[in-house]
Amino acid sequence: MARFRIRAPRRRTRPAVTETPFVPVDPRTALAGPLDPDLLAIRRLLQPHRLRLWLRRVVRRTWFVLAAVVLAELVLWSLARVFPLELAPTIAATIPVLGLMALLLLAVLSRPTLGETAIAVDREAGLGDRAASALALAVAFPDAAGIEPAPAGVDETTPNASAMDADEERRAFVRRQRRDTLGVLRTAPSNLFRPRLSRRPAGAALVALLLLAPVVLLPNPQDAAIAQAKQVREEAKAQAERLEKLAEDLEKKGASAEDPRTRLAKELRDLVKQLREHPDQLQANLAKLGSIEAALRAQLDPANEQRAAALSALSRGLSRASTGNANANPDGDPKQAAEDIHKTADKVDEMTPDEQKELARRLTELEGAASQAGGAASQALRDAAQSLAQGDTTNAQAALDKLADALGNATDQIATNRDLTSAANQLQDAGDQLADAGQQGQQGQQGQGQQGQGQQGQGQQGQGQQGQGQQGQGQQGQGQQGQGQGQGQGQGQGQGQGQGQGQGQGQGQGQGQGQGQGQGQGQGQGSIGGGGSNASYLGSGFGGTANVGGPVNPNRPSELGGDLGNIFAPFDRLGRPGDPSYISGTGGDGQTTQGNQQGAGVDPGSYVGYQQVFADFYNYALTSLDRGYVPLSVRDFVKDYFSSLDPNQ
Amino acid sequence: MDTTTTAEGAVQHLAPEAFAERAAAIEREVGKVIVGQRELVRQTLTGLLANSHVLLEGVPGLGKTMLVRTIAEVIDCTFNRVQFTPDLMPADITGTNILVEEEGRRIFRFQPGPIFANAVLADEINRATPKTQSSLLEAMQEHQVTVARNRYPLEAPFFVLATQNPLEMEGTYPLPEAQLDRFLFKVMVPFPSEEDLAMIIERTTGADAPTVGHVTNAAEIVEMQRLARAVPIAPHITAYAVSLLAATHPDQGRAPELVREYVRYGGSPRGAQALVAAGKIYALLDGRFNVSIDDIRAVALPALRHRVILNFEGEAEGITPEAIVRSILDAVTPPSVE
Repeated sequence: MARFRIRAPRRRTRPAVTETPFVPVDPRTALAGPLDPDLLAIRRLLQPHRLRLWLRRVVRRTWFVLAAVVLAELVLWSLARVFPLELAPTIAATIPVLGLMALLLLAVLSRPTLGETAIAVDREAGLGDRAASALALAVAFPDAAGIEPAPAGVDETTPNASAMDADEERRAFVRRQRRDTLGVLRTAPSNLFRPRLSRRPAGAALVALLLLAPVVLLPNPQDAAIAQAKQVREEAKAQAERLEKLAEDLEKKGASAEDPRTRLAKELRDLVKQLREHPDQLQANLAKLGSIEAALRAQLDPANEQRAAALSALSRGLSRASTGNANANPDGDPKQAAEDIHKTADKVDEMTPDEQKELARRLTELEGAASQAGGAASQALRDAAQSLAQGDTTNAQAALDKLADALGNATDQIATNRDLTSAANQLQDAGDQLADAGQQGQQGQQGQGQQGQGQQGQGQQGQGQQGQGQQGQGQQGQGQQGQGQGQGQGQGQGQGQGQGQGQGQGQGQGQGQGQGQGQGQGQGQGSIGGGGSNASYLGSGFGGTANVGGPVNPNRPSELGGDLGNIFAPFDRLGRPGDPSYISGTGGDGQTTQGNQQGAGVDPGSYVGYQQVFADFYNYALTSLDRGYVPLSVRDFVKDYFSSLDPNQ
Repeated sequence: MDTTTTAEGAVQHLAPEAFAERAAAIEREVGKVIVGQRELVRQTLTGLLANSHVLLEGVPGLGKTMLVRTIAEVIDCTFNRVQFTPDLMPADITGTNILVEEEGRRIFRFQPGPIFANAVLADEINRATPKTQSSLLEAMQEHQVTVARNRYPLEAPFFVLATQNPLEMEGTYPLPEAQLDRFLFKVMVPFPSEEDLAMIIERTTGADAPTVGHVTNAAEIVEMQRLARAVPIAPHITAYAVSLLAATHPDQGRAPELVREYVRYGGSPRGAQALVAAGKIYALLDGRFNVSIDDIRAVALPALRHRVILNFEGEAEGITPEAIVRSILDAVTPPSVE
């Protein structure tokens, strides 16, 4: 029994693809010899149609290319809104050019042949395949394509002539068909193949264009990311240049391959190479830079400056002890001291025992400084003093010479340490700037569309010894929303820039002008920036619409009372320019406070008492002294300085 | 005069321009009796001029027999009608040897059957047994009959027009594929329109029965057949006809989806021959000296519908050969160079 099954109605699929049609060949190219005049006339009549057909093809392909270009642009700019495509503008400009080139290529390739023209004319003008058949039959039957005069008395085109065989009848048919084609072609419309609007590609292009407009015109959130990446790359290249110079300097200073400066230079060159080859890999670059810096700082001698001060004091003392001149070698130059010691060693034999003892006593007084300057110097000093005290001039001379050599070695070590310290600081700067480059991009991204309001920062007094970065004081915005964030940077003249939250870094060489200029950017929500070093009060805002009071202590001149006129120290008391004076900035006291305020803003005033100012500065000075190495003499100097200013004394 | 007649009265050559005139005259004359049905008349005439045969399928009473009889009358040819029944024997068609007395001797003499005529109407051919149906094979293909090892040629033109009734299928024997393949066309006889029907009623119920005259003769029909075969055809037109036929085969790449699913076998090479031969006649009838793509497409349905054999699924789902051929025409589009 037959089984029947019910099947779902099948979907009619589209017709199978038709293969490329058989296109007749141009008889002129396929046949040699003279052609039938009717055939030549057919070829001539087809030429104008051929040009018009070509134009139609070009127009049709133009629509397709246009649609492809617009669609490609749409895809590109859509992707550019999702992914940070830095090359998007370049690609976008390239796409139309490629489209134009493709169109030119297509236009050349689309030039119709005579056979294609014949087929198209037949279809367009409804000629019943006459033209194409005329060309094809001419090639298929070459004996009927040439000039063949009819035999005398016989009309070749009349098949009913007697004695006509099959071939003659076929030739007659072909010629008759050709003549028929020629007559029909002459009456064919001359305006065939008008260019048409290709609806599908034109519609696709229009829709894509409508979608493309907002995609291109609306702000692209990826622009900030692209700017950040660009900034990171540029900063990486800049730091690479800077580090390369540092590496060159270190190589020049390095005495040998084992010199730590030479080794550091090699590592720096590797870092420079990485920065140049992969400038966009911020994290990897920072990691490598940080690892180099960490390894470098691990081998730094934290007591180097203390040792230097001790060496300077020792050198000064040795020169004075050896020459007997109380003002000799005021700078504490170790080289001068070594030279003086050598001279003294040469004169030891000529000294009287009392002079030798006196020299031994002076040298013994310097043992404290020598122990800080280095073990070798201390031991040589002790040996020299002992030998002199015992009258052993030979050993005393040797010990003094050894002491002079120890001074030189200690000087080299200190110089090396200073170079490495400087390199470490530069590495830290490079890392900070690289990180800032990445962070600024993010800030820019976050802050897009927000409105900031510049406010006047607060100037402050310079600080004699070390510049101090400080925060500008952000103040309440005029009811605008936003979050401030920024850096304050103070120079010796007390210029500060503050933005909002105020994380500051300061670096300066203060002259103590105490004249401040500030720039602040406060944004909305009543956020209050951290106070500057002399900002004792942070105004609290009330009311989103309130006008903000002026900055606290704006541009206050550095005038002090008559009894405190010497509060500012001259610059030259702080040591030489170039001495380590960099102190990392720290976060300000003020943090972001957010709140809803209503009512009028209040400016509670800015009176600050001298007692409080003194306490602030004194505490800050003590903190700064504790953070980094400061020579004992300078410490004492600073303490004495503040003691002289203490209102309680 | 566009014909040359010999002393014996045989037409030797016919001008191509006269072909269309003769055919038009035949159609006009047939139209005096057959109301409407222009396509049917043209396709039947095409079968005649292609020196082939036509299978008509239609319900009774649509004038199939009248059409053949009228055409035979118009072209001044002999006409026989054979009513096929289950008990019809091959000898009833081809003829047989009968015992006759001649000069005192008894001898077998061949007695020609109804097949010996210029136009033969095989009415309701599917009611005869396959054995009887197959007796037509030799006559249709080779225009001769073999009886008792003697060959008897049929007089030209020889034209078989078979009919079959699609409704009464009880007790019928579908034609074998080999025999179907020998018909140039399978023509579906449509029911006439109301206007044509009114005209038919008027003509057939009046006192005067419509009559037709002789427009041409058998010799001229043979010349027209020869002239039609002489029409040259361009290679790309032949290629298109071959493409159409190839598309009827489900295992061919160009076959449309419908063919792949529902066709068991496609047409034989006779299908392509039918397309080209009929296309040539259509071209001449249209006053052209070349075959066009449109000629091929115009004859594709009657030339291919009986050559497509559906598979079981096609039969079960009611897929018609006409739908198959139309899907092929949709798939194998005319050459386009735009």
